[in-house]
Amino acid sequence: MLRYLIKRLGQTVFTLFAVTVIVFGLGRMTGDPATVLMPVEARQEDRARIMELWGLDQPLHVQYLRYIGNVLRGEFGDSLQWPGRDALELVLLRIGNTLELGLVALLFAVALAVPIGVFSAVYKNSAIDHVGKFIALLGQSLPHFWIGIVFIWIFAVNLRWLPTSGRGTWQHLIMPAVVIGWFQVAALMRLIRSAMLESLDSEYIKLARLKGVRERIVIWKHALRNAAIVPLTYFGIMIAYLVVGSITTEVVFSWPGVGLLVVNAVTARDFPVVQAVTIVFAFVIVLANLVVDVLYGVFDPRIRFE
Amino acid sequence: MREAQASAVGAGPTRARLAWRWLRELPLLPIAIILVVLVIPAIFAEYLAPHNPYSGSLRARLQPPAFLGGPSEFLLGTDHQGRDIFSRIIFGSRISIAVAGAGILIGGSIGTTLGLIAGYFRGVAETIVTRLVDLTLSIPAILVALVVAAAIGARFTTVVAIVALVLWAVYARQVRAEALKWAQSDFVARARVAGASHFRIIVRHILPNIANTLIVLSTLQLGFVIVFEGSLSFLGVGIPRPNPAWGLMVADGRIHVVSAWWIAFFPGLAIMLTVLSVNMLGDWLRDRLDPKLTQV
Repeated sequence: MLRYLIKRLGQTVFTLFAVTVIVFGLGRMTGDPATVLMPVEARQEDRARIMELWGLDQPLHVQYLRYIGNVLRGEFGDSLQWPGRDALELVLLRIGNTLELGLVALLFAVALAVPIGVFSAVYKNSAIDHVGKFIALLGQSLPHFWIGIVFIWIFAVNLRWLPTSGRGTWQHLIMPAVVIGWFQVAALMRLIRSAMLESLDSEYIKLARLKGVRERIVIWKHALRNAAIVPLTYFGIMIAYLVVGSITTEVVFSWPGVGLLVVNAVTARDFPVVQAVTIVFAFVIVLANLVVDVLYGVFDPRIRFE
Repeated sequence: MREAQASAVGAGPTRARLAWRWLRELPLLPIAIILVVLVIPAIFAEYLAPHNPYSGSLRARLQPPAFLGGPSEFLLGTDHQGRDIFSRIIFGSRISIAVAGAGILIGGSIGTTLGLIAGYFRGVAETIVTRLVDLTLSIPAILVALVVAAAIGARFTTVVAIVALVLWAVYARQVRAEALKWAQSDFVARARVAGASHFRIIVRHILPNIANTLIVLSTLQLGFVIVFEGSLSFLGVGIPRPNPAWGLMVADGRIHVVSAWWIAFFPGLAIMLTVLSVNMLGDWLRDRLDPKLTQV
């Protein structure tokens, strides 16, 4: 277990290192980082001063070391859009909102995907299986940003059941969470279905049935418990999708989270904020993957020896 | 595999009949939608579009679709600048095809090449490629797109580059696994004994066996790329204005959703219909050509 843990930790550090290199490299790609890092209307002498202050006149590897030092200390510089506000502080102020939305979306996805997945495995090739397949196909084909707008038009503008956008009451959460979660339902449901099919076909299920255990308990306790580990590996990818989904969805619903922050920052060419968001998101995703992999190693010892 | 099929053909129905059976089972509706929404408009845009997709008259702004009482010349209505939505959707199909085509071609070629090298030669090459694949797949491409847009600005080439950046990893992972399997097969061993070069073995013996996987994978990725490009354009980090990219049109319509829902609705519908059809076709192809390719 320890070897597996160390190996995975090494991979995580490598990935994070690569992320910083990519962000650093892109920031320097224009040749003149001062242009990227400073507002458009900055004067020439300010520019020269900043170049010196940030060590932009130094060789690249020195600049990178300096940069990584700043990143590790959480110093991404001040926002250009809101002068005097620290970029990381802006991100941390909003990350709670994004996590709130992501969590509700996740609950929605699991609540929908688990029963549909289980039933479509138990009643294979029945109506519910076909409906499930169609939901999965639809979930993979609908563009987030569009379905969000269609929802607003139907449920907020025409039916007036829900608020159009913003954050406040629990009603504000419904549409964005459904839009983000919907995407996850498709993949999660397919995974649960195939894992359940395999599980239901196994010897221990046959034994349980022979022993006269009630069918409901066979399905929901014996089979599902063993099938549930397969979708677990998917959770890492799922978190990544939740983060990505949150970006477009927060824009559609004006949800005051990190996604909306970063898109506005891109429009305003507020590079310090874009950098801070990218690094924070990458950390969240990579760490989530690490946790999932470690948990998987705990639940399924075979994986550790691969 | 091909020989096995040929002998089966000799014993059973003729080759022509088999081809006919294949044709008869084609999923016609998805193919028809792909042709009508994506392919035909892209080829004949100049002839099909009734208006200029880039300019409109402000006097004709926010007109509802013709079938909802709007002027008959604007089938799907007009946007906030008076541009004909129908014409813009028609021209927009070119952007979708161009981005998806270029992205898949570049990403697919790089990924397939690296996957073949990794799966065939193993060793250091395999370690490096799998590490890079893991790395690429663990960073959401949309984040890279945001940084690129903030640093150097968004344009057609950056979008294609970002698409290729995601796709190469998907191809490399799948192709490596396949190449690994075929490299251990008898016919490769025999080719090696007969003195075939590595290059010849890879290109003539392994690649043809992976062709089906590549076709299925490319079809399934096509839908992903269209949605992905749409998302980037929607966020303002993809295709720049005033191009009629479908995602950009949805973004334009977002603020007008209360008064003029059709601006956002129809371009999004075009994306949905195309992607749904492509995915259905991809699923069908997978069942036919490569049933082992995992879902999700």
